This record gives sequence, structure tokens and C-alpha cells, in this order.
Amino acid sequence: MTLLVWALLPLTPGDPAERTIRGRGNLEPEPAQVAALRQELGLDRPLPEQYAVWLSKLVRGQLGISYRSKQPVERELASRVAATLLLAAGGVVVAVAIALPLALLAARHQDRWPDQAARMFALVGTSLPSFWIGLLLLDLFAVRLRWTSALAKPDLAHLPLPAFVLGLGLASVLTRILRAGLVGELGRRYALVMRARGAGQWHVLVRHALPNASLPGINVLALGIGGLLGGAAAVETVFTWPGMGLYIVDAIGARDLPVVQGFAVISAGIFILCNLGADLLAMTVDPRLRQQAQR
Amino acid sequence: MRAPAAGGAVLTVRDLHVTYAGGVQALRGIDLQVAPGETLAVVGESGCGKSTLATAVLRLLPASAAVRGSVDLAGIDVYACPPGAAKRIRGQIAGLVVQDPMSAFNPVMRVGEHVVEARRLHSRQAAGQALWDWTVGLLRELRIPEPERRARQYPHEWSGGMLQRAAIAAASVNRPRLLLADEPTASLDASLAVDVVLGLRERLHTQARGADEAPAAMLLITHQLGLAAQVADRLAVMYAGRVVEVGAAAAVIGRPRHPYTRALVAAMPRPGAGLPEPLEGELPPLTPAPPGCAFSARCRLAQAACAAGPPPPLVDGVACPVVTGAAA
Amino acid sequence: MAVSESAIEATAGTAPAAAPAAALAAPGARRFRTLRRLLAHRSGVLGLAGLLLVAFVALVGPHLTPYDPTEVNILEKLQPPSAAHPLGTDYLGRDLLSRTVDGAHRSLGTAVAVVGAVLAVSIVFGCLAGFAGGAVDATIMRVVDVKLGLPGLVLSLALVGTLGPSLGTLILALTIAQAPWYIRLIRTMVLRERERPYVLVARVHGAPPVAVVWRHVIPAVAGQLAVLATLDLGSVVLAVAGLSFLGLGVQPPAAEWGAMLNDGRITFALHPLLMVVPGACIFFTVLCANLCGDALRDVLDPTWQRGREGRR
Repeated sequence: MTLLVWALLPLTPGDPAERTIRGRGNLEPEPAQVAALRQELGLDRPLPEQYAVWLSKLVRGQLGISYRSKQPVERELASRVAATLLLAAGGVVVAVAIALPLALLAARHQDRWPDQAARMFALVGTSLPSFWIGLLLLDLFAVRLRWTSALAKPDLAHLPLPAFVLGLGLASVLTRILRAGLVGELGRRYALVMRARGAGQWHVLVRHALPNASLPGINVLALGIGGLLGGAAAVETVFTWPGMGLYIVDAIGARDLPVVQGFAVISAGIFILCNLGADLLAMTVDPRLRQQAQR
Repeated sequence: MRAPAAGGAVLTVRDLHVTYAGGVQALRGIDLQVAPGETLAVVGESGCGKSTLATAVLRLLPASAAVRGSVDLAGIDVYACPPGAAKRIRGQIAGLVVQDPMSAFNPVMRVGEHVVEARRLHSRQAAGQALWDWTVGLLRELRIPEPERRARQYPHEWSGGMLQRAAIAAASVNRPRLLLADEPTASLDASLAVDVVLGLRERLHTQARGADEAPAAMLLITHQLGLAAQVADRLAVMYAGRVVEVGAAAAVIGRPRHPYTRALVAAMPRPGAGLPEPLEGELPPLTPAPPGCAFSARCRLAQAACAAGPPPPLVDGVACPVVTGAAA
Repeated sequence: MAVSESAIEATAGTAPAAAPAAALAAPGARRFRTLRRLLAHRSGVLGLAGLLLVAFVALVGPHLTPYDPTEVNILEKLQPPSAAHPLGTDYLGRDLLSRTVDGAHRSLGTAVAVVGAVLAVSIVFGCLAGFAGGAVDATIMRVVDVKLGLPGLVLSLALVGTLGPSLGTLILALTIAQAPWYIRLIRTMVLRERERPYVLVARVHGAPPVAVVWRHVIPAVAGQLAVLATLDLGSVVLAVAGLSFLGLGVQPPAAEWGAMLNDGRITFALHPLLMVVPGACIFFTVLCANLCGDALRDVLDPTWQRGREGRR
């Protein structure tokens, strides 16, 4: 399955004629130069051959040569991937840090104001455009309060604001899923039995309901990281965070196809790793999944 | 610490009414007493309010349910005491065993850990090797094979009968004065059912080691009259949220007086008693409950007066004026 | 065209279509009850009203705007709100109110187009996979699985990057990114529906597959699809605005909320309205769509209804 995703990826974007025309339009108008460049980049060869070359390079960890900088794509992207991963990790931390207490409070005080507040947060959080709230917060903190600089460096000191903006949407989704899961678990018979043994509501909620309710949460988190990789483009643009997203937007503007392809491959790779990680995490929580895997 | 109960009873339920948010009147004036060491079986069809009784005794009904009347557990008024005290009652004075053991365990926690946790909720004993060994010993007492290995397994790796024994261990780990067993055998094979309930009783008797301590009492809630007949000292028959007959188990089954009890006994398969007669009709709706005797719609002895006025009270252990001769 | 309207048409319109099949009479009645219950759902009605408002503005507004939304008037750039320009003007002297109203048309229209295209594509491929089976099914599902292996937004970015930014590409990219989920879902529903007795009867009687799909399968799945589409409308509006904000969707000088936001950010410190207004419009539209979707889900799926089972 993993191999299939990777192998079919370069086939996904458009047809070859379109690519070449677009490439010519943005590079050099001189036909001779174009031909030379096409030869240099291997664009004159038939598509299957191009694909085979691209794929064989991919296996060796090479993603091709950028049209613009003439540098290997993997080298161009390497430092930016790290910045994006830092941002995405920050987003995940923010999402969990918000969603976990909010969902627990909502489930503990079901149908009362903490629950309504969590519901409201989830609704607003999924409806806010991240780039808009990002710009507003940036203006507030960088321009009006001067707490941080508008030009972010990819380090921990500059992380909180973009990470918050990126993680907000995921926090909303996670809150909703966790809350629903917790309420569902509290309705199960074992929750009543635990209470009958003298356990308090918080004890049942945290010790028993949470591990069970976290299983769908883990899946949402893994899917959400995929969303963060795409959403990072807007947030990185707002905060000029020098990550993959900012770079890819530039590359799209310049029709730098190898970079776009590289971005998709790397994102798919990260996404697959995240899902693998989620599966492993779910297995450590649920013994039934562990045994399924052993069989 | 354990004050002697008022009148010596472990559990006293007085005029208990429970109405759920949807308007269902699950309990409509229950009076019950359980003496120390006694096993009282509460029998009735499903939907008669038996399970509500078990959760109501522990003050674990949904917050939206309206409760009237009183429950006294070993001298503590369950609904008048502060929530912290109610929490201490659960597991320490009264334990609960429910039906379908598979759903009564947290699926991602080891079986042994459930027992350890039940113990630690009421004692300062540190979780460690000593407590674990003690848990394994307890499981061995309950005839769980290979308890060392089994205790480390997860609920789904256990069979239903074994798991119910572990549930009994967890419920009685703090030596409660009363065990509430809500259909403990409903999801088990018939052969296992008696085994489990006998194990339950045995457990209640062996745990009372001191001479000054009476064996624990049991409130066995079941729809299986046959099972109740085998293990109970006394029997209470419930219909539509009320107790219609109560008395010594042998007497109630041997000489049933209330028409409903008679029908139940007739529906019970017994050797040498011919074919059981199935009970006809259905439980009345409880939103709101009908006036008069709730059973009158299905009753063969019903008279015109039965379906009017307040429901008949228990007189001499039977709530039927027709049978006791108070009417007519 | 507001999707909220089409959602209701879809739910209500299925009843007459379902009439020939006796078995569907009951579901038809249930859908009318659904509509009634939706109208009793307070936040759902709020969301529906908000969406209808945006839809109304999007449909009628562009004919009423006082200025051409793309008309440059450099002499009147960055005007504060005034009688002539109720919300002021942007850095090219274009009237903000006119652009916002015109943007509603484009933002919501694009999102509705995407949702519509997703539904059309996925109904065709979902039914094809579900009905044809065999190699066709296997091929379609394999492509779907591969697409699902990539996060939707990443896929959209890659597609826009390859085909070049334009409104058409945007719609295409978002459609391709969204459709796999729907195709898989519809295929599952078709597989379930095709075994229903009345569908079997129709097939035994020799009805062509297309007719069977049209008469029986689509009415049966329309309600669920309407809920999903409404739930997704919000995120699609967000995606359209987001990609346009990045300069990868609607191209200047056309007015679109995301693109306007991007224009406004340069002058934000001095002229906050230029950014606040389009952003608030996006937020409001998405909020209403989400309210509507939540309400529909509450109404249609009893397991999602919040029970009053809290324990004391």
C-alpha cells in the first residue's frame, strides 16, 4: 500500500503536455533555451521514462532538481521540512493541551455550562479561517503589543503564536471527538460498576473512560497532522515561518514542478508515518489491538 | 467504624419512589429490609424496576431521576448523607455485581488491576507486590485456574463465568456488609449460574472470619425464580415498581398467595409439576402508572374495585385485598 | 444557489421520487419529519437563516452594488468609511462594500460548485464501483485508496501547483481531494441498497442499471449525502478562501474574500476594515454552514443527540 501511494504519486498531477507548456511559459521565452533546458531537465524524454527515472531516484532519496535554483529538491526542502515539523508538532501540542481538559470538563459536567462552552469552542474553532485569526493575532501581539516580532525565526521562542493558530482547528475537532467518546464511555456499564466500588467521577473519567475514548482521538490526531501539513501553507505565509508550506507556495507561483512533487512525496511520507505511529500508539492503549496484530 | 444498623437490618428501604426524566415511574413505593447474613431475592419480569432498585440503593441513578423515600445502609441514610459519605458506602458497606461481566470490566485494564483498584479505593494500601500477591490469592480462593497468569490477562481473554467470579472478588474485596447482585447470572449458561451464585454465597460466608462479625447479606435481583428458590432465605416479588408479595422463600414458592406470584410459579418449570404455564399479557405502561393494582389488567381474580383507587398496600406480606379477604 | 436550499430540495424532493417503491413511502414521510425537526432545532434555524442571508446577498447583491467591484480609482484609495463608501475603499480605490458583496457571490458560489462537483463525480464513480463490481470496482477503489493516502489539502496544493493557479483548477483540485471519501461512502451505500428487495425486483424485471440507480438508489442515499454535503460546505468555503489567500485560487482583480484578505494585510495596521470585513464574512458563512450541518446530524442521527444521562 505504501509503495503504491508513492509510485502513483507522480502520475497524479496533470498531463505532460500541460506541464511542459506551463514550464515554458514561466521560464524562458527563447525557444532554443527552452529546448536546452528541457533536455537538461530530462523533460524531452517520454513520460514513462521520466517517471522511471524519477522513481528510481526517489528510491535513492533523490527528488529531482529544482527548475528555479538548480539545486536538488531534497536539499532545498530538508531544512524547511524541519521547520514545518516543528510547527506541526507545536500545533499538535496546542491541540491536545486545549482539547483534553476541555473534553474532560465537558464530559464531567455534561449538558451544563462547561459542556456548552466546549461545544461553542468546537464550533467557532472549526469555523475560523486560520490565516485570518493568525493575521489578527499577529497584529495584536507583534504590532500593537510588540511582544514578538512579525518576522518569525523557526525556533521555540517564536513557536507559540503560529502553533496556536495552526492547532486551533485540530483542537476543535479533537475536543468534539474526545467529548463524544468520554460521554459514550461513561454510559457503559463498567463506569457504573467502578462508581459502585466507590470510585469518584473524576477517577472513572480519567482512569477508565479516557483510555477507551482516546482510541478514536488518536486516529483523529493522525489524520489531523495530515491536515496540519496542508494548513501549514497558510499559517507559514502569515507568520513568514520558513517552512515547507511557505516554500511550496513560492514554488507553485514559479511552476517549479519537481519541488511540488517533492512536497507531495514528503507530505505523504510524513502522513503515512503518522498513521503508523497512531496505530502503534493505539496498540499500546488497547490490548485487543495488540493481539490482533500478533495474529 | 461500622455502626450497628437501626433495628439490626443491613438495608432498610422505606417508601422508595424513583421517576426517570422521561416520566417513567420505575419504583412506586418500595419497602424492604435485609437482615445481616440474610439472602433476599427480588424477583420479577424484566422492566419491573429491579435494576433501578440496585442503583437507587447506591445513589447512582442518573442525576435527572427524581427520588423520594429513604434508603438506610448499615445505619447511614444514603440520600441524606453528604456525597463523600455516599462514596464511602459504595464498595465498603455495599458491593455491586451486575449482569454481563464482559461489559462490567474496563476492556483496557488487566483483570487483576480491577481487583487491586477496588481494594485501593477504600484503603491506604500501596499498590505493590504485596497487594498483587493478595489479589492472586483471592482469585485462587475463587477457584480461578492459574491465577498468577490469569490476573495479568485482559477481560476479553477470560470466559464469562470466570469473569463474573472476578467481579465478585472485586465487589467483596473490602468485605462489605451487603452485596447487591443484579442479575449476576443473566448472561451465563444455566450450569454456570448456580455455580456462580453458590460461589457468591460461599464468599460471603468465608469472608466473615471474626466471630463477632455476621456473614454478609445479599440482595439478589433476578428474573429466574428457580435460582432464587435455590439460594434465597426470603423472597420479594416485584411488579410494576411495587412489591406485591414478600416472605420466606420456601413459603412464597410452595404456597404463593398473590395472583402474580401464582402465575410466576406456574410459569416456572419444575420436575413433577406438569408443563409450565406461560404468563400472559404484558407489563402496564409506567408513564404514568395506572391507578389501582397494576396487575389487575392481567389478573384472573380481578374485580371491578381492583383497577381503581390507590394501589393496594402490603398486608401480611401480600398486596392483594382479594386474596387476603380484606375486600369483598 | 445556496447549498442549504439544495439540501432541503434533496431531502424533500426524494419523497415523490420514492413513491413508486412502496417500501420507500415510510422513509419519505420520515424525511418530512426530519425537516420539521430541523426547523425546531434552534441553532440549526439560526445557521440556516444565516446561510440563506449569505446566499441571498450572493445571488442578488452583485446587481445592487453601487460600484463595479473591480473598478480602480487610484484617487480614492484607502478611504475611510463615508456616505459614498460605507466601508471605505482598498489600496486601489475599489469600494469595499461592493467587493465584499461580489466576494460572497464568488466565495460561496465556488464552494457550492465544489460540493456539487464532488457529489456528481462521486455518485457516478460510487455507483459505477458498487454496481459494476469486478475490475472496474477494483480500479476505482485502488485510485480512491491512493488518494486517501494523501492529506486533502496537500493534494489540493500539489494539483494547483501542477496545473497552475486559476478558479477552474481550484474547483478541480478541491473536488479531486474531497471526492474519494464520498466515492467510498456511496459505494458502500450502493452495495447495501442493491440487495434490498425492491431493487432486486426492479433488476429481475430487466430495468437497466442506470434506471435502477436513478429511481431507487439515489433517492435512498440522497438524505445522507445532503447531510454530508452541508457538513462539508463549511470546510470547503474555508479551503477556497485559504487557497485564494495564498494566491492559488481566484485570481485578481476578481473579488473573493480570501484574496481580499490577502490584499488587506499590507495596510492592516492603518486600515483594519479591509482585512476584518472579508475575514468576518468567511467566519460567518462557515459558522452558519457548520451550525446547519450539526443540526442536520443531530436531527438525523439519534445517537448524536445529547442524552440527559449524567450520573449524580
